[in-house]
Amino acid sequence: MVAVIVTGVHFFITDRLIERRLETAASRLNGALVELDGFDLSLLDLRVRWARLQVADPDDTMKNLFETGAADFNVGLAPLFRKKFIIEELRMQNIRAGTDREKDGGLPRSLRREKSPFMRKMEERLEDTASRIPVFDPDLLTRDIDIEGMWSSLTLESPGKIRALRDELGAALDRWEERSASLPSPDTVDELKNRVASIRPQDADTAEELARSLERANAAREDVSSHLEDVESMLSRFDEETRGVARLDARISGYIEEDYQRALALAELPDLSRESIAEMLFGESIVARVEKISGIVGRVRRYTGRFRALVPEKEKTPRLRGQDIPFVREQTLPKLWIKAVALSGEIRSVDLSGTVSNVVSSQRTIDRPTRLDLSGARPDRAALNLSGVIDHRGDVPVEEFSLGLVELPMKDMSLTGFPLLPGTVSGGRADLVASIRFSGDDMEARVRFTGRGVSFAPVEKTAGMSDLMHEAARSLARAIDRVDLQATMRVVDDRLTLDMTSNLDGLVADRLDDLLSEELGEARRVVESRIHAKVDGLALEVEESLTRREQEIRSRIESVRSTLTEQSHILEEKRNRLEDALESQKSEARRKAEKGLEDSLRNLF
Amino acid sequence: MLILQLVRKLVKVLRSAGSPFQIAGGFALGMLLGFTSFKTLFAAPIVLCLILLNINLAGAILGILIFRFAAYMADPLIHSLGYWILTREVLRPLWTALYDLPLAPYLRYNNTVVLGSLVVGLLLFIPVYIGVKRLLIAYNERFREKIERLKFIRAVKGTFVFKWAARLLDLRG
Repeated sequence: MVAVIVTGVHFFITDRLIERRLETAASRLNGALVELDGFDLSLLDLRVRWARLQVADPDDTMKNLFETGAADFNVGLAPLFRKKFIIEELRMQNIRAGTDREKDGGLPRSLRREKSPFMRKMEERLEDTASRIPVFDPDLLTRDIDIEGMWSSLTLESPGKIRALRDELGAALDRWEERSASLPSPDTVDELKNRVASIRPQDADTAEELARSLERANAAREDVSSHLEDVESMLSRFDEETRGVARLDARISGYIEEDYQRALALAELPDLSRESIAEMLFGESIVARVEKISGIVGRVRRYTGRFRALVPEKEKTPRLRGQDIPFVREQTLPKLWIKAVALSGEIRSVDLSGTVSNVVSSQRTIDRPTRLDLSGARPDRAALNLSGVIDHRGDVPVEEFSLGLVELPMKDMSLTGFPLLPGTVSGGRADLVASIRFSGDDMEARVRFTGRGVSFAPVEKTAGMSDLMHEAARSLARAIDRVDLQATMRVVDDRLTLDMTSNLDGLVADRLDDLLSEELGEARRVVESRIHAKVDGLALEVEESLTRREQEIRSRIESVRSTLTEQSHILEEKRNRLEDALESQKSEARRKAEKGLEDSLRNLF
Repeated sequence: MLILQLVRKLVKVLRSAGSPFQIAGGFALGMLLGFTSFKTLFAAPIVLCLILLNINLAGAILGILIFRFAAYMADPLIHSLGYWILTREVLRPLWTALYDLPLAPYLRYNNTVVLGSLVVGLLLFIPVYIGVKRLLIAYNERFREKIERLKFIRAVKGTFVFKWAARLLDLRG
């Protein structure tokens, strides 16, 4: 009876008790449920086995971070007396990542822990970065530009400006109406004309008559020139002061254009630059992955931090649980040391195998870092390599991971959640090289993704998708046959920077420009026609009246100028004739005088 | 009826060793166990004492219940006390040496609540023992007859339920 009881106690209580304690401790460390199925502890040979291990993802508690199939290992006996768990080799089969859970893996409140300072800082930085990633609102394409709303909000300024211009130019023309009264009157012009006409060189026979005519011509010329000079000066000033009338059409067009621009601003059209497209396409995905990895690193640091610090910080713990203070001595065995973990399983349909070495509570005790090496390949040439080092021996904890994927089929891969890009890839192969390094609070992550021969599944029009978006997605699907993405994220001196470029930036930016241009063009045409309907009548009326008045005043001035110019030419001609005739007479008289003198001298001698 | 017989035996055991010294001793040991809990090896010698010593188990159970609740309520203070003791530099060599000894880690002495509770329990052990003993002696000498004569007590003892339970559990002594 006693033996039965002892055996039953051994079988039911020991395994179940230890299983529950392991699950509780591991769950608290992970921040989400850790569940063991089929746990079996054999006290005779200190062998531990389980059929299944599920480690829930704290960021998505309906999924597992990873799960394993059967595992078994032996625990060293002698160290166990000192409550030290030393495992030479832990074999875990059928490891898979991201599997679905049947029930929520979230922790009850009593087991939850506050996040570590490292994790809090990283989350703050990443949340700040994520908030600055531009968000594309597909409604900007699907919604119609609200012309009526825009029109009701728009206050046209061009009519007022046109009226002000009319008043301004009208006042100038009014002044010139008055000034034009100072033009030589028709009587004065007629009088000048008569004076010019009265000078008749052909009628002057004698020198005296020629001289008198010339004198009259000079006097007339002086008057005509004086008047002409005044009229030309007036015309010049008139041109200057009424230049606005000549540019009336351009100015009115400018006012209307200003109203267009204000109307477009009211339509709130997006401004998309190529630089922001890459962040919009892939930014959230990169930030989410870095956050997940940071979470894992944070949990590892929290665990190992207890054994690194001589005096760990006082923690707030649930009641009656307390806080374990480790007392680690160099050159002794650590509390937990799994010397080698042999893994086999599958990630993204790639069969993997590899090892994790030196999973240990205190690396300083054994003076070795923890290393991870996983690799695998598929018959279709796809291959994966994952390696990492966790080194907490120094004062500054360092973690490095790198992932390489080659020839990964892209079929059924979803590239991005961007609404304009086709959802699912139907063909192509991809290479991915990614690395991330944490050193204290600093971090650097790099991603290089190359997809070749990319093709997309036919883009189906879904509910809520406009024709415009559907056509945009289809045209992008046709245009994309390659995806190149480079991203770098750094945290240095508490500052996070994210740099991203991809070949899709230009394609998407150009396509958005085209789409928006179509919409915008139509909006402009409607707004333009409405503004013209409101403004054209007034503009035409103003233009016509001002131009007519300007032309009237100008023609008056030019008429007088023309007449005076003509008289000036006539007068000049007559003067020339008079001067020539007078010169001729003088020559004749001189010749006669010389002949007379010559004759007199001849007669004398 | 096997169950009733088992319960009767249990009650008999619990009611045995009824002197004030035995009750106070049981209560004090129960207090110690209430503070330290069964999850550490510290509980083993205390349980051994409960089994081997001729003390009142009912008192021990009462002590466990009362002081487990007290430990729960006073946990923040106990946690602070344990943390203070474990982080004293002068004691570090002691704790480190203990950490490597066989079985010592199973004592969980490096847990703040375990150590704090143990210290509080040990400090209170003698005062609680003396206090309970004196209380019981005073009760027997001065208050027992008065309380038993109280109408309420007599009324309870006169109920059918009490009589039935007394007959069943042989509580009449």
